[in-house]
Amino acid sequence: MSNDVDNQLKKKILELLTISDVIKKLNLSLDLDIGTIIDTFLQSSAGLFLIEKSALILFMDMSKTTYVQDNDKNFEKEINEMRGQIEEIYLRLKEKQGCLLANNLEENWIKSKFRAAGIELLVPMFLRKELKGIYLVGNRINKEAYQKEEIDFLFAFANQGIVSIENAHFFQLLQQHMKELVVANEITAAINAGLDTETLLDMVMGALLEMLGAHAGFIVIFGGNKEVLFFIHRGLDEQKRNTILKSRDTAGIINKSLNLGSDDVFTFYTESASFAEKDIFMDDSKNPSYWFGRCLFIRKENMVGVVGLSKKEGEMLSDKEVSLFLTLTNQFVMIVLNARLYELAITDGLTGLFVHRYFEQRLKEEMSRARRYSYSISVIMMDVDQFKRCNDIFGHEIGNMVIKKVGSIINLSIRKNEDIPCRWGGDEFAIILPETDKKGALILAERIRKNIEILKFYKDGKPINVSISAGIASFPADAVDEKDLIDQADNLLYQVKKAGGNKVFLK
Amino acid sequence: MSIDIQIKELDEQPAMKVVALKGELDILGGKEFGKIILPLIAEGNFNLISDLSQLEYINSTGIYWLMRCFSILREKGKTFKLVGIKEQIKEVLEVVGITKIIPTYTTLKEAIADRKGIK
Repeated sequence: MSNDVDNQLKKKILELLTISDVIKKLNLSLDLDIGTIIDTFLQSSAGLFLIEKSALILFMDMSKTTYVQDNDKNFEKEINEMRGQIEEIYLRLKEKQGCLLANNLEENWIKSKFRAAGIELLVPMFLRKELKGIYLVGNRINKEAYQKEEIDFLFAFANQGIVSIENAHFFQLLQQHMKELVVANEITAAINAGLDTETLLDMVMGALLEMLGAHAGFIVIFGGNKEVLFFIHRGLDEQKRNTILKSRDTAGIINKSLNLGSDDVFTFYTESASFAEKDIFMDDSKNPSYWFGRCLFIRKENMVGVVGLSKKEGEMLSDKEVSLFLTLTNQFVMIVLNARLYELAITDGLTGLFVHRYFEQRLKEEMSRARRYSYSISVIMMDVDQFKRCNDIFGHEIGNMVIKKVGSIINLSIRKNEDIPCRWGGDEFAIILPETDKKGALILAERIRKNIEILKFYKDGKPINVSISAGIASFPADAVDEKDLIDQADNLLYQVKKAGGNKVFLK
Repeated sequence: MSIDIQIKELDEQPAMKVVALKGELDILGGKEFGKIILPLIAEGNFNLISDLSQLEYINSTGIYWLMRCFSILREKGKTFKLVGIKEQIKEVLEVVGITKIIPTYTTLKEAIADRKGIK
């Protein structure tokens, strides 16, 4: 008898030591991940009562809510398949406020399910009167039944454990929210700094991948004619990029998402993929993966986009992550709209060249650069010969056509993303040529002049001849500042006019 | 706080190994032990003896890892034995009841000599 009491006492002491041991460890490090906390809890319990299998299911907004002892994947699958039955017991557990023995359940079909899975005891985990989880205790290695005192201990232990679990969960959420704020700030600052659209979109894509644990992603934005305006991608090799772009026209991921017709989040799994698309449903290590994303409708600008992110199969998104995804992808829309507005503000509607105001701003910047790095910069001032006469004789419609065509030739002749062509006003044009001396400017001006000279316009069978005059000035050779540069070029242009037009003059 | 794990192959048939644990088998020690011993047991085909003569401390997580070794080896038709357990450790193991499941011996010689369960 006294041996029995002695043993009971020792057991109680051991139980208390276990609680204190485990809880001390769990609460010491706030940033312990939830998996580690739950493993510690399950293992301690298992060691104390020689439990061969057990599991924990949580009712919290997390991406993973089922944890099993030994990380036994088969058992985890079994438990997930039983979630429905377990949740049926939920209310009963809530009412009883205590543990349920599987054998004492009324419904035979649920009882047999638990028996087959080896579960003997259901221990509810309460936090502030809410049922936050259920600890499913399986059979013991010594096949002994659970005594009342042992069940009471498990209940107390589990309800301590849930506090640590929730703390870790909140801490994780806090860190995530802080990250979100930092990212939102960074993106806003980048937009205000006037970074180009592609860089901004890439920033948001990077943030999305990191925060949602995706290994690959893309954003594609189509203009009115189905032309690709932007294609930003990460983690995709050339073949996968091609597969995605092609899927606009095939029954692939882009086409399918556009056909959904809404901007809700979509998910595509490998089962729904066509053969041609199989490569994008695997990550670089050939693990199966799935795609989730949404469409972005920028109706005002007649643009439509698709954002897609890929994660390993089995790694689902929590509600919070879906909400974050929606917020960040809305940023995409803002960025593109912003870029579009800016584009409209700085371009001439008829020719697509830059406007006068933008030209002046850029000239200032380029002069500053030219001074700093000691290189030449040239300006070509042009205008269409006899344009007023052309308008008077043939009408404004023809006049506009001429301006548009001249603008197009200029655009095609310049160095893309280097030279800055603008419609100065009316029938006048100007080009800034950074890092170019007079000789280089002359070559370009002559090329433009010749291409315009050979243009053929007709109205009512009558031929319309078009030609331009051009004047070139360079810094530092001819001028000391912006105003001087333009004045010099303008003067030379005037001289060309006096000399009959259709020529290029330089000093 | 820390654990030292040494594994030795014995000159016995069928195959037998000894894993000597020195230090503390607690949350951290147990994790370390599991990281080393589980892959070994999973891939191998041997009976295992755990020499606990230099083990100073064990708690419930430590017991969990011993139980896990036992379960896996049992499934493979192999034996798992404990040897040289210090008095204070033995008390803990007895209270939990694991000594009724996993055979315990005073010396390695005794553990090897007992061929029960060895195929």
